[in-house]
Amino acid sequence: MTEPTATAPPRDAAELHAEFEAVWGNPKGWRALSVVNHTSIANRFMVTGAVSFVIAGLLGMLIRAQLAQPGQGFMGAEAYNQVFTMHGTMMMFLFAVPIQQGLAAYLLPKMLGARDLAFPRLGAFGYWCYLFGGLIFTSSLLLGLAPNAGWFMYTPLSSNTYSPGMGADFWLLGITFIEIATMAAAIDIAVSILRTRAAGMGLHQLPIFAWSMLITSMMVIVGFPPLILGSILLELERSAGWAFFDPTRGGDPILWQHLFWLFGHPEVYIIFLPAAGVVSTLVAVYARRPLVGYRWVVVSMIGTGFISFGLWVHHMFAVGIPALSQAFFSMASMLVAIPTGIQLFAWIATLWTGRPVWSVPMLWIAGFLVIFVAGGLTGVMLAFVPFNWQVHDTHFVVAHFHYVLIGGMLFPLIVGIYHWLPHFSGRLPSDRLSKVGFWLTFIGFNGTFLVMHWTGLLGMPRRVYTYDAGLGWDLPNLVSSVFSFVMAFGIATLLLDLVLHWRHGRKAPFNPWHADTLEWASGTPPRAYNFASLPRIATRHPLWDMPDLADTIATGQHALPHAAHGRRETLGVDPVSGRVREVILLPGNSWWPLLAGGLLALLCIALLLKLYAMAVVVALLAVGVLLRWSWENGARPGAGAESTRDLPQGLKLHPHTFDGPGLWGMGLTMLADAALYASLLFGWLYLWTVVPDGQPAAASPLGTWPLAVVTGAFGAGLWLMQSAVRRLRAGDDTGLHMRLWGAAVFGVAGCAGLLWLLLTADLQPELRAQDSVLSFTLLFLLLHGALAAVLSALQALRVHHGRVGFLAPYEPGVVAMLWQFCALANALAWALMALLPMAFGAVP
Amino acid sequence: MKPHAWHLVIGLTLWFAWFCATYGGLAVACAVVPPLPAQGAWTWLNATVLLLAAVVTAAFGVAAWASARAPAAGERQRFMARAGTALYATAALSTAVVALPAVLLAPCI
Repeated sequence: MTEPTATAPPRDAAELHAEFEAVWGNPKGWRALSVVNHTSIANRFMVTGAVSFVIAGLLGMLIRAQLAQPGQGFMGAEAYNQVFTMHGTMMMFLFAVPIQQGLAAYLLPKMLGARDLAFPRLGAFGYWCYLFGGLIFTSSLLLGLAPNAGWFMYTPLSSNTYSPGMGADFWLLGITFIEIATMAAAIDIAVSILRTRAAGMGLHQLPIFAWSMLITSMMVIVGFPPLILGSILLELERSAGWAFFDPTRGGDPILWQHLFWLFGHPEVYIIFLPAAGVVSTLVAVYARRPLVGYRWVVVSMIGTGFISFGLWVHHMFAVGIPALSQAFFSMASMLVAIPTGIQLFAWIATLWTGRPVWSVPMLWIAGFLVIFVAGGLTGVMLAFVPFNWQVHDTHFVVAHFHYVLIGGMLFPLIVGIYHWLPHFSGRLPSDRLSKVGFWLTFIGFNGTFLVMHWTGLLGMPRRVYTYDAGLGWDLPNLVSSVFSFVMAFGIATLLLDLVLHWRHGRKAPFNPWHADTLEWASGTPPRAYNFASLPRIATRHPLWDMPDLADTIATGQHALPHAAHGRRETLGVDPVSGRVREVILLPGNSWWPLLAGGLLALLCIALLLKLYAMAVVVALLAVGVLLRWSWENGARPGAGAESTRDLPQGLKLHPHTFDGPGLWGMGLTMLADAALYASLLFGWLYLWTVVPDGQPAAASPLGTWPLAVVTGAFGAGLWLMQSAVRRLRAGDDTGLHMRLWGAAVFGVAGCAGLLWLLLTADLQPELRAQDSVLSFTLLFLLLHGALAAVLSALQALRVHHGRVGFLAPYEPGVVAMLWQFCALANALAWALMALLPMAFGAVP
Repeated sequence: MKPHAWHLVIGLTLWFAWFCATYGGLAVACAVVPPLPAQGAWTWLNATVLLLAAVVTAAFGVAAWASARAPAAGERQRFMARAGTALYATAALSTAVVALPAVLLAPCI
């Protein structure tokens, strides 16, 4: 194989730009809605996230106005409950995570030397889900129907009995819808970091921000499914009357808390780690030296990511868990401070040994260090069980997590915005306004939340809409409220600076901060294709080591310096070494993401309004649209895939190989699915163990053998799929379509078995929690089985149409992963829900 | 042990599996065969928790040692080997520290 990134002769940059713009350029007007380019989608994510931040911030100001004085009548209890629920939920789900994913989606391909993310259409689909879900959720405020049970929606407060009406449904359906966007973005980002990098960029040379986003995305993929499951179960309990969390029917409200915090604590680090990645990147730039302890910082972030999954019960210290179990989580909560501390020392050492340039981003970094350290220290205090009991549900906790989240996420985000502002717009911010904004925010923040620790220690509980005078809470509350307005002025100044700079900001020179990372070589503002040619990068500091890189890229002196073929393409590399493996074909603009997102929004609305017939129709339409969309993937006529003589020697387009981003995307999707299924099985075993008389009957209502037969059907389908893949690998596609049709038939047979079980087994989900779990498990398996059968049938059709075969062997391997999941999930259901009760269940 | 990217995740994945097994196992044992509260921390359950933790800690320690001694050719392999060593050591430390309260606390109250 020739080196795909060998030096090519220079071409005229303007001519090359015109050639690439013809393929990658974004359409104008209403057709802009079909754009899938990562820069455009990421910008939309960030703007939508910023709007959510402003709305949620204004809700926070309402809270402070209400609590400024005792006995305030500004808001009643119901309005206050809605306001604090919406404030927390919007900040966590509509602002903190999406805006950081947006920043990552904007930066990563540029930092990694790629032309786009691995799944541009998935990114666009995610954005529409986020936008529509956010609009549906936020509209509940205007309708006076907002949820009022807190951002963690504890049962039974969020159950039908105590939260009648649509408020909780808005939360459960709206947030689940938004989580589709979060999951889609996480999968897109993780696969992009692993597979679409510059040639030669090994894992050990990844930009530190890419490391932080890789770890964060994996945490989202594993951490969000428990909440998605919990939300579906609670919505089923509310709308269909099934029992999961109702103790009168064999459920348990604490199960919700476990599912919620299994997501909720990693969520804190999901929010913090990208911000830490920004700080690690920028501390090095402003200290004008490489980050001290790069490897230690990577190890710390990986350690933080894992250990953060062992902390969830520290949110539940007051529910009555045995002391030893609490101590496990207490110790883990203290442990997690160590890797965070290592990062902190790495930043300080970098500044200490560097030649720091005092600039606006550095001002915010300094603010971040002060605030985040204080928040971390109170976090260690809260890890101690006795102290935690004392301040549980007081304003001390509110102050703590604002220090962690605002210090640990908002400040670094603003650092990043100021640093990359010239990249977004080509202009510089106002020095004066940005400094005023910083000082007002910093002073206002500390005046609000430092004092709030005191309010909490004086015993003021959270989530009360008013309080009596004379309890000692009057003064600290007034101080917090006054300073919260100072902070609001600071944020307003910052926003004003951002808005004004688009028109009045000075033109930024090339790489104005003398940064080392590759994104500055993509142009400011960037072009839709990022790079006219793709350089070989074997250093952590490309722009410091190769200062002329921007010129050689723009004049096409590196890999893939052509676009006249009409393809959107980027290099696909080995995830570890960065060796080039293939050329990844990227899809162009499309209406499918918008259409699919719109239909899912309609489905969400139909479910909210309890129009179930309409919901079924819309759901079928949405599935149809998604399948039609999938038909365009892979080797397709009209995308220039046939004319590949211009590819570097030895390289193929990914649909003509056995590897590609889809395989990795499916793998990570199955990982998320496995996390959801594991949470469901945890729920089954949890209810069995914890609920009084919760032991299931030895004779399972599912019988002993039916699930075994179903597992056998899916196992046979899996065998056929795998044999199809094996033969393709051997270069033999004879009988391929028969194997695929055969797998589809076995899938239909397995689904028929599951449906028969669902209809004939003596299950009463409205009466018994165990039956609810069994019914839901059967539905889960049925849905996956049906999808596997349909996708295999679709593959068989694609063989007929020449889109899959010896020359395009890639897709059956992707579908086979779903079959593996189905077979394993059915086998586990059989083992845990039919066989295990036989051994340990109750005998009448 | 050959340096590889998998070593960056294997140790702490197993640590999480151990953590869940210990927490879940303790809950099941307390529901089915709880030791007498009067026994304090001197119970078969605490002994099991500590024994398992000791075995797992030792296994992670051995993995860290093997990773540290692995021959690493080139910058990438050195990075993987050293990061793997640190992460196995983190898993070992985390196991030992988390299990430590079983020396002092009764298991089911």
